[in-house]
Amino acid sequence: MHPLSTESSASPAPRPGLPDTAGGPAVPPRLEVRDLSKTFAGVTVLDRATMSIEPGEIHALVGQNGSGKSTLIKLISGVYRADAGGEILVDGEHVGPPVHPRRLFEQGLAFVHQDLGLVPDLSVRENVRVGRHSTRRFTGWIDKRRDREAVRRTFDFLGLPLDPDAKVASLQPSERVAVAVARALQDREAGSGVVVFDESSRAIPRESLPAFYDMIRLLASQGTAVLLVSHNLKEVLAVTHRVTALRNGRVVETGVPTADLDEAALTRLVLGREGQLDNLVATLPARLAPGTIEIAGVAGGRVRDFSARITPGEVVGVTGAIDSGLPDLAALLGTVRPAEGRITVEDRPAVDLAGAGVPDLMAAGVALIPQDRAAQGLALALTVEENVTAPHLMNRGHVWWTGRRWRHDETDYVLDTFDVRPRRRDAVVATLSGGNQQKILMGKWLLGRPRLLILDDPTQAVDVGARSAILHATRQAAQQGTAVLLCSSEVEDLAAVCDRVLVLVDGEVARELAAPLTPESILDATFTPAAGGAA
Amino acid sequence: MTTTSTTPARTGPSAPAGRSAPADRLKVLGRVVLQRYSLVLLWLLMIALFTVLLPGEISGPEALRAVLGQQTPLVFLGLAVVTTMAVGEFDLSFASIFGLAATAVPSLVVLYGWSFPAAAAAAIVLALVIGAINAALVVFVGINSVVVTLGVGSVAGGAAYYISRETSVSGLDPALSVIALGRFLGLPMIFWYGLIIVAVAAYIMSATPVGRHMLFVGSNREVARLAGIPVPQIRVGAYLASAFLCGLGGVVLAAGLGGFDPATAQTNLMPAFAGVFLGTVAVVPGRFNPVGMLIGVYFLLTGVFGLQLLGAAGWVTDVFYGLALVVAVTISFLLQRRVRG
Repeated sequence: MHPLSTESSASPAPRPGLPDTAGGPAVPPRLEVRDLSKTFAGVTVLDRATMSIEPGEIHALVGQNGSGKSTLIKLISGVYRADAGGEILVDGEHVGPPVHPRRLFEQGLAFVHQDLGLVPDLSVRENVRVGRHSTRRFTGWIDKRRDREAVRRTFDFLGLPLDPDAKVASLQPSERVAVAVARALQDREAGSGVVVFDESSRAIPRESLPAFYDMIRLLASQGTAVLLVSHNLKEVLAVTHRVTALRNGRVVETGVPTADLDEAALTRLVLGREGQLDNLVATLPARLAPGTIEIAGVAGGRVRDFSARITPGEVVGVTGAIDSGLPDLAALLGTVRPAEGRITVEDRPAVDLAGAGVPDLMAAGVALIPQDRAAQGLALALTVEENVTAPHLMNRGHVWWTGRRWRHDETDYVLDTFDVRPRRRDAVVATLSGGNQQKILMGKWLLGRPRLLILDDPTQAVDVGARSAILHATRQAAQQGTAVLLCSSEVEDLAAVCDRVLVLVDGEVARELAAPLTPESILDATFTPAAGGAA
Repeated sequence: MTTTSTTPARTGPSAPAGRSAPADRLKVLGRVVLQRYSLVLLWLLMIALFTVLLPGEISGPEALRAVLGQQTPLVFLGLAVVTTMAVGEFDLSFASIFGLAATAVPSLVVLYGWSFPAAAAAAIVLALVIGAINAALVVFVGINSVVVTLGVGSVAGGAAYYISRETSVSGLDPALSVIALGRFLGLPMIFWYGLIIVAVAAYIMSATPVGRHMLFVGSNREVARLAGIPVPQIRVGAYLASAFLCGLGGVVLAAGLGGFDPATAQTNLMPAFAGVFLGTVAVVPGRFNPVGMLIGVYFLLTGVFGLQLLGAAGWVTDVFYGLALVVAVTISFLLQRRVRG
């Protein structure tokens, strides 16, 4: 039941320690990377990275945002071209650089990317077979029957009964991941090659994670090498055999057996220092201010009726299973999606969500930090300063003059408060790492001193350091008199910063948990009704 | 907690170490000039090249005056394109709107007996109506802007022929040409109008909240909306401003020429686009900006002028504009890619 449960199911992958490579003739590693470097415009983002993965091994690649993880993966997958001097080997054979993306498959390299890369309007079969369609001999038309068979075989291997003709848009998130995995694994000789999962568990609902881990173990048990790129240190400890850690573009440790590590040691490896997620409720205690923020009768999507009362200075968490409506809630409250319901901030006039727009919410002092940074949060092609100041131009500037001083001061304030690297106002946001982008996004909305701050899964796919900075900022905002509503499925975040937690079940608040909160208690409350289930 | 965090790290790594500061600053300045004004340098280079290739025929200053003194609506039209492109909209109808306005003025005066001020006002209103139709279909109905403006442009082009009874109309009072051709500091008024509207637009786009809002709408509509920016208003405003500029350009040009041939309107489409995209490699690289557009337009006019003096055939003009557009877009794209990594 526990999402990160270490207990393995049927698959007999040896969990701790190295796969058996000692003795016998030396087998070359499945994947070996030697001295890979990458320089952008004179800045070295990856410096002589070296690591190797044995057949049957599950290897983790960890590091903060901006540590060079994504760059390394993009070098191996041929998205970027490595600087001269390095080498990539599969089964002892030179495959690059440069790696030719079109030849990855023949060379035994398969990737499941962060964003999965699926076309929602097409069927499962089309998504899986794209680029490798079976064709009829004479006409060259796509042979749907043979494709369907091939897809079914792959799903059989994965143990998933998915309909090859279903539209991807109609699938559950976990099933979509399976489609992406199937695409990577099809037509593969069992036990060969390397599969890279780049932050794939992000896209998988918690209930389905054990099944996902079992699949990885199954792959490895057959001899395939697996590289798991992950921010989730618990996952790394539970699933992988060895770890390579990157920091500031360098490999700080490689091939460390996870059996020798605990979470603290792994955190040290990633951060270069202790990164204990302390209980912020204790260190930054709530300072309740007079007034009430009332959310009433919010409905839309899977949310049927959400109501809550929040006091300024308080952090209230909302959590729930994937089908509880939790993923919809923040978007509804922020009018990202059409919604019903009312938000009343203190003595200001109530905002009717059905007819309101973002300006109405802002006027009432409501700010949403949306989940989808690239599509909803930040204009990636614009600079830090432009992004941070965008919502405040009308309030802080004049119609004929935006003003310069306040823009610079406030942007500097955000850069310093959140320790954004690089500390440059004119940096284009797209060039920053994910964690730093998230900090910019937080800063952008906190500058307006909102009365109600709604956060939608703010620590998704950010590293330990950024996560701590974001949670600190959340708690601090509350201390300065903001009411905070934190919608998240990260039980540890919730336990660390929330004064109360509301649990959604079937689109309604089913229970309320009060301090002291622990990750376990929140998790129990979230999943108690649905006994049995996914594991 | 928060009060302390505002002050530290101010003197970050960006502050250069004391002694080498002037040299560093010079280097930075040099890079900025190269990045932002390479188009201007290239322009000067081109003028120098033409004076060398055409010895004795024309001096540099003369050539410059001839180029800047051209009677062209390109700055008006380029600015119209900048306005719509900046907010992420595509407008293929601007040349037709300009043509309609420029045709309406002499037609209404000569064929229908209106007074010039009334005809000018009517031309601008007509342009605004077309702009409003564009805006309504694109912003409120949600139809693809390329399709809408292509169709609406064709309608406007046809309407121009209808108003002019399918001929080239002339016969405006020659005294009116002062509006466009009256000289100030040796250059015609139409040049100064262009300079003024570019200056105003550059100010609005770079220094006012509206300009910032345009930037966000053009960069990411959903992010803009969630930042409380009135996205539909900005988009509609851009279409209307664009149409207004086209109308204004039409009125000024018709006054200068004393008439207008609707068939010539479309010849401005290509150079205006080319100028706008050339402009994205100058001043504020990677962004649609008015001053860059101004430089781009005069860069193109200089090239065509020089080629004509060298005796190049008419088709060279089209090739030159087309090449300039493609090269500009390519450079712009490569710049962006370097920034993004």
